[in-house]
Amino acid sequence: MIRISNMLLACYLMSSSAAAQDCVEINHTFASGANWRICADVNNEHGLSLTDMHYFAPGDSSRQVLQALHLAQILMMHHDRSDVDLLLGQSSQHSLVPLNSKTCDGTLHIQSDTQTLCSIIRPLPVLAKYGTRRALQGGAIDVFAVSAHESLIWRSNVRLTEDGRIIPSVSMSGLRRNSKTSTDGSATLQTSWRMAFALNGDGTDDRVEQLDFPLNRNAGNRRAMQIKPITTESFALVARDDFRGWRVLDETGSGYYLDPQNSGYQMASSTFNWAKFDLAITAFKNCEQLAADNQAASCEGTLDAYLSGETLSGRAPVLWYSQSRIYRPRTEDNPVITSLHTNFELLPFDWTSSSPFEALD
Amino acid sequence: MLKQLTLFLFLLLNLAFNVAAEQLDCDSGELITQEFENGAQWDLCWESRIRENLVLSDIYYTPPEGEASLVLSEARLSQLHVAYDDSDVTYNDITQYGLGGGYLVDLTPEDCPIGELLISQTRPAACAWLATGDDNFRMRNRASSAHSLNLFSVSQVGSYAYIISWLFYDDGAIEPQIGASGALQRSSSSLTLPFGRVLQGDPDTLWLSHTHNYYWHLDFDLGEHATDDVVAQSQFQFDKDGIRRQQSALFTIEAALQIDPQSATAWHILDNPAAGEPVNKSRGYIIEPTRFGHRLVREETEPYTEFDFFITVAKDCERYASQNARFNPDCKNHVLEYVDNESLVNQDLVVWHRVSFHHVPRSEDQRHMHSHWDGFLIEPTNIHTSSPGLNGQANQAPQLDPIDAQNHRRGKPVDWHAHASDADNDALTFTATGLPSGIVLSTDGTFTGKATEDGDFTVVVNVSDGIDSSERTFDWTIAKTKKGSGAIGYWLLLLVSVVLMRHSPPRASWPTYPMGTWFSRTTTN
Repeated sequence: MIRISNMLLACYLMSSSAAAQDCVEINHTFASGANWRICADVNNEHGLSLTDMHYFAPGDSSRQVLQALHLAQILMMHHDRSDVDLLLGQSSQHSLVPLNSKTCDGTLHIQSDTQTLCSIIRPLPVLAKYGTRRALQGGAIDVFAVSAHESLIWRSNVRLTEDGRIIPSVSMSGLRRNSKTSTDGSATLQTSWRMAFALNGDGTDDRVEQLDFPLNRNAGNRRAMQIKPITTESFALVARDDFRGWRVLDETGSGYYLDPQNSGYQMASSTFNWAKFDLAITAFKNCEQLAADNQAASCEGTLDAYLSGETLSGRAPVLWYSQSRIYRPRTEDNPVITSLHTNFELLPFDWTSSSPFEALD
Repeated sequence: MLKQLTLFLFLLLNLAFNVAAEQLDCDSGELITQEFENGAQWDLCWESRIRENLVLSDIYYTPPEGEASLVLSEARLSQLHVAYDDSDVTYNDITQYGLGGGYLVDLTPEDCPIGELLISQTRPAACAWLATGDDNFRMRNRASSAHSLNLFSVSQVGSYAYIISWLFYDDGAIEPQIGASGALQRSSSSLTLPFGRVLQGDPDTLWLSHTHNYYWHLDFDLGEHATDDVVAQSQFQFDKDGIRRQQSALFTIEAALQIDPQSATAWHILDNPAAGEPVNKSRGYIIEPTRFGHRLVREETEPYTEFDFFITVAKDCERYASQNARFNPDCKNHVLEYVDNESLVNQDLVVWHRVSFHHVPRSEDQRHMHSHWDGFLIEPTNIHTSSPGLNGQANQAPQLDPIDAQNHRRGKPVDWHAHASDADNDALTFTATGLPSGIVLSTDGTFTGKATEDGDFTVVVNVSDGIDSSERTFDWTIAKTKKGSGAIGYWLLLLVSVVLMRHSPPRASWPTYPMGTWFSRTTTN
């Protein structure tokens, strides 16, 4: 069952100065009883923007996970040039692409008299399997918007699964760009998402931990878990050999885990310091929306400027997560580029005391 | 990224598993053949073996409107290495237990609700189904999803259920995956140990963190000959000018390689590339390690864990990435030992790829945990001559409006537009040939500039939506003075104007018109 409410909702952000947004409520209940309730908006600044994201696990209550989730920037560095294109922000030439039945094989939503938002219900086969017990089949809801930048088409998508996972993704397609020089037209692209947490409330009691599992060669190759509380605004890098991950939890210990398993490459930007890092953690400020070319007058600049050493204590944490990929042209991209996907996963971590589907199995 | 999949119901009607294909004779397995709506087709043999469970062989891909071609002669998991953080126990599941035989889970229709159960030696060992996933391509007014044939089988080893899965896409890509499900395996009553977590509702048990290391064995035999494949590594390095350039190296001897995230390492398996042919122009497949957030390295006890990718000469006795000597005592023991400087030239090559996943127990893993999927994508490069996903997606060509003959004076500014429309609302690009010197056409269809020479020009204008295009031809005359009725009209109107001025009441002002523009324009835009 999916219920859509197209009205002016009280999608208030955490900040007292935040204004209500005209957004579409998407409220979907899966066969198991699990439910996602979100407020979806498509705007020129971010493309897709989700707020007030609540997850209900069977046997639990509906609780807020994120107060805001949206793209914070897309950097594109064509390898035949030394500069970097910003695909979001004032200097960008991107534009929202209206959707229709050919480009949305789900439900089209009307917002501000335009159809730029689409949602699709998808099955997720073999959600779980154990021995001879029948496999558990699950589902997910995709919410997406599409933007164009020159000849390229960008789809920003958030997948919300029946078992509580949040999977933001970006896909690049469109017409292949003709390289202006003799190089092969390849490019590095980096997508950055902003995740403003507010677990089970307003987020002011949320805290962030970095988990590492370094190999101790002097202690029989054991890996002791090291938990490092992040108490001030910080940058962080993926540490593959240490299996590094980041956990956001509230005072009850209930939370979500950012596992950088899908991290492949790293951006080597000489333009932006922040783009060299995989993650930034800041204290919530509503005006800090984009990692670069931010439009709010009171928060101009880049993510580098947002990290001012402020304490995270008593402040809702915001995670800015970046991933890089290489676009390598091939004949399969003529004339249309095969979609280049980038995604990551936020995983419920002690959100419920056991698998929420155990009783249903 | 791993392509997330959902059901592709309309193709379900066209399921044709186990239908014999003339060109394949599966000696020890069963045949699967699947044709997609875009004309692409996969043919392969499969079997469930006692050690590896799913083993695929003779994997052929037929591009849309193309010829069937061998991609892999064999593909399988070659080890499932599980290392616990307390280091007390390490499992090599394939060689210690096996994923087939008694560890193979017989599937039921409930496990395969929208697919078809496949039988191997009387047992329902696998499920095949058709799926649609994320975008294959997207334009402003059209989009197409990726369609795939999915094949999976389940092995229960201890508390873990491993879902071994292969996805074959209609654009020629292949995606091996493993879903780790079942239940947590090892625990301790020493609650203060730093090697795991105490979960909610179970205060007396510490569940131990651990790493799954999946070693995949891929025997590529691209095209007609198994011995002409070449493996290359590409990386991107910054030059001093700030430009990132690709560097590539072809391997002529066996190699063990590490991923370097900073230089965007990728591996290319190429089908008989011509001498000097750039890697990015060659036909073949690419493996990009885009799921590389975890990497288990314990070089002292398991030296092969220091590397992510291996290239070796194919040998029947080199079957498992570790503990190989248990079953092949006359052969070497692990994959790093297989890398012993043998020449790869004119040899049948095998690549081995490791993917790691570190599992930190969470309360949601009780009692039975949801699948955690790990895998990688093997994508075709330059196998097709154009976008394979476009097949079956109709494109409507842009329409260029008629353009009348043009007549302009040399040295005078020109500024007018050609117009076109596109039913698909695609972005359009204009180009032209035969323009008078000094005149240019911008990509949005605007002619600007000042002609610098007289003459009669035949101009061809083209408008393209990136896929299709249309053309118009028109004549363009450039003269020092205006030719034809336009010039006559100018002088006549000037004469009339003078007469009117003499017979008109005085005016405060008189409109002025730039000569050569108001009266002389004889064509429409």
